[in-house]
This record gives sequence, structure tokens and C-alpha cells, in this order.
Amino acid sequence: MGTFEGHLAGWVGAEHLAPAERGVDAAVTALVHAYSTTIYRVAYSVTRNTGDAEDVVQETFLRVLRHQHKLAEVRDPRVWLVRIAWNLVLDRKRRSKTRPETQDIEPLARVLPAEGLGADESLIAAQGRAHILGLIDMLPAKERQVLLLSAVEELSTAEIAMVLKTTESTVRSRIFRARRALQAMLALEESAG
Amino acid sequence: MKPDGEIDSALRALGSARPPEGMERRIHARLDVAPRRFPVRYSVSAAAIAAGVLIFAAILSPSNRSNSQGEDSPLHSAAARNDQQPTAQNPARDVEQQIMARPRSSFGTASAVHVPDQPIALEPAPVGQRRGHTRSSRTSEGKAGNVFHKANVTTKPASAMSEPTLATDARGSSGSHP
Repeated sequence: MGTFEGHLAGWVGAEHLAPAERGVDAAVTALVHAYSTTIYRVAYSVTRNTGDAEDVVQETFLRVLRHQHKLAEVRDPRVWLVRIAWNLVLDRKRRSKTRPETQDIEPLARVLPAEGLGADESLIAAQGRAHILGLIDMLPAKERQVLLLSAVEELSTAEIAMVLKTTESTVRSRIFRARRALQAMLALEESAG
Repeated sequence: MKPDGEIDSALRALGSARPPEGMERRIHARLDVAPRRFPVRYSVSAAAIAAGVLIFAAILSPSNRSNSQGEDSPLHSAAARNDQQPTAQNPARDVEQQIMARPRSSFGTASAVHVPDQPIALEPAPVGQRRGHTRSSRTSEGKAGNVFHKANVTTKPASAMSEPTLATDARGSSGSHP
């Protein structure tokens, strides 16, 4: 039962649905419920803006609705949806030509979780993260993209490879190079500061 | 904090960003508003294109073209008229009966050629009208002016043609054989 129907039956409990609801509506509802958070995280990792990320999520499900005849052919809905969202977010970024809003610390502190920290500590932590995210934005595009997708906790290396249409070994080597470059930049800043 | 720890912490926080409240509800609201079916204007334009193609195909089809050309010609109309009228009321039909009626499903104008059942007697063509040069007059003039005509060539007598034969015979008989 690796097909879409198998996943769908598991998500929504098809036996509880009326016959009219067992079609496309039920499928899309199940997809929204299961993957909207993942897609939001993928979109937010690139845009760093809550409104833009939510727009991307909505646009992703609108695309799903438009291509609903392909739902039966989808083997891995998560990879399929993340790929749609990834293309949308890259297209949006290309058109806007703006850099992510890493300098706004307060929204970042509000969106990024910091469990067990007080208000001041949370703000300081957000400042450090914003600094790291600023360094990530300076990485080459391919390495940056792989690193951002690897940050999304739901995605495995194999799934990232499928989203980016490359091999797992390429993904691993790009992640390694990106982290090494980040470490070098941080070390350079520490020695300079 | 070590650089690795900072990087991991930042990436982990980025990858577990909290979606805003009520996002799922807003997605459903937008999906409910979105058009789900093929837009009507696409359907109308597709139907218009299909109708145009059908009309052009009907106009340009060979059978229709031959029909329209055939109805204009007098032969076709006469044949059609005769087909519609009974034989007893139309004595002129005997003359036109020899014209073959073109089949309805024929191709082009080639089938409009009528073939008579019996050979048609030809009237004798007028001759000696002296319009231009006829072949016979040209040959008579040529005979008069041509220096190489048979009449100007002197022919040898039959006796002269037979002379060498006689000489050979004489030589052969006198000295070639000892």
C-alpha cells in the first residue's frame, strides 16, 4: 500500500467519509492536514517571512487542486508537495530579488522556537540565529539550498535528493561543504573580533 | 558555544518554525474559493476553434467542391433536369441521354466528361480555303525551287553502272590468273 490511496486511507479514515467526500476533496483535505506545516517550514527557510511562507503554502495546495487528476499517480505526497513548494518559493524569490529578512530579530524570535528560555535569553538566541542565517545566505546557491532543506526536520537525505533531482551522495557532500564553509566564516569572525 | 553547536541550533530552529495560527483554516477557505473546473472561456474558445475547423473541412472537401462546380455547368443542369422529368413528357431526352450523368460521389471535374454510347458522325471539314499555307501547297512549291529535287539530278544510265563489272571480268580473264 505505498500508493496515494493507501496513504489517504490512513490519514482520513476513508470508511468515515461520505461517498461524495471520498474523492478529490478528501484527498486535498488530508494533504493540507498532513503536510501544511512541513511546506510552511520549507517556505519559511527561504523567505524568512511568515506572510510569504503562508502564501506559498496556499499556492502549493492550489496547484494540487488544479492538477488533481495526477493525485492517483503520486507515490510520495510529501516529496511531491515539497517539490511544488520549493519551485514556487524559488520562483518568488527570483522575482522579488530581495534578501531574506534576517535582520529583523523580533519576528525571528517569535517564529523560531526557543524552549526553556526566558524572554531576554530568547532574544539573544534569536540574535545568534539571525547571524548564522545571514552567513548561510552568503553561501553558494546549491550548498545553501541543500543546507536549508536539510534543516527541515521532516525531510531525509533521500527526500532532499528527490526534491532537488540529484543523488544522495551529492546532497551529503554539499551539506558537508556548506557546514565547513560556515565554520570557517565563524572562525574568521572570532579571530577578527 | 562552539561553531558547530551554533549552526545546529540555528538550523534546528529554522527547520521547526511554527506556522501561524489558523493557517490550515485559511488554506481551506482559499481552496473553497478557487475555481476547480476547466474555465468556461477555455471551453468556449475550444468549441469555436473546433467548429471553425469543421466548417473549413466541409467547404474544402472534394465532394462539396465538385458538387458546387457541377451545378453551375449547363450540362449538369440539363442532365439533372432530365433525371427529374419523366421520359414521355420530354422527347428531347433521346439526344441528351447520351451524356453520362456524373455520379454523386465522384471526385472533381474529371468525372464530368461525358462519353457517348455510339460514335458520333463527323461532318466533312472544309478544304481549299487558302487560308495560310496548307501542307499540299508547300510541297508543290518546294518541288519547283529545290535544286536537289529528283527532277534536277542527272541519273546515270544502266549501262554505265554495269561497266566496272565488265572491266573486272575482263581483267580477271586476261592477266590475274596465269
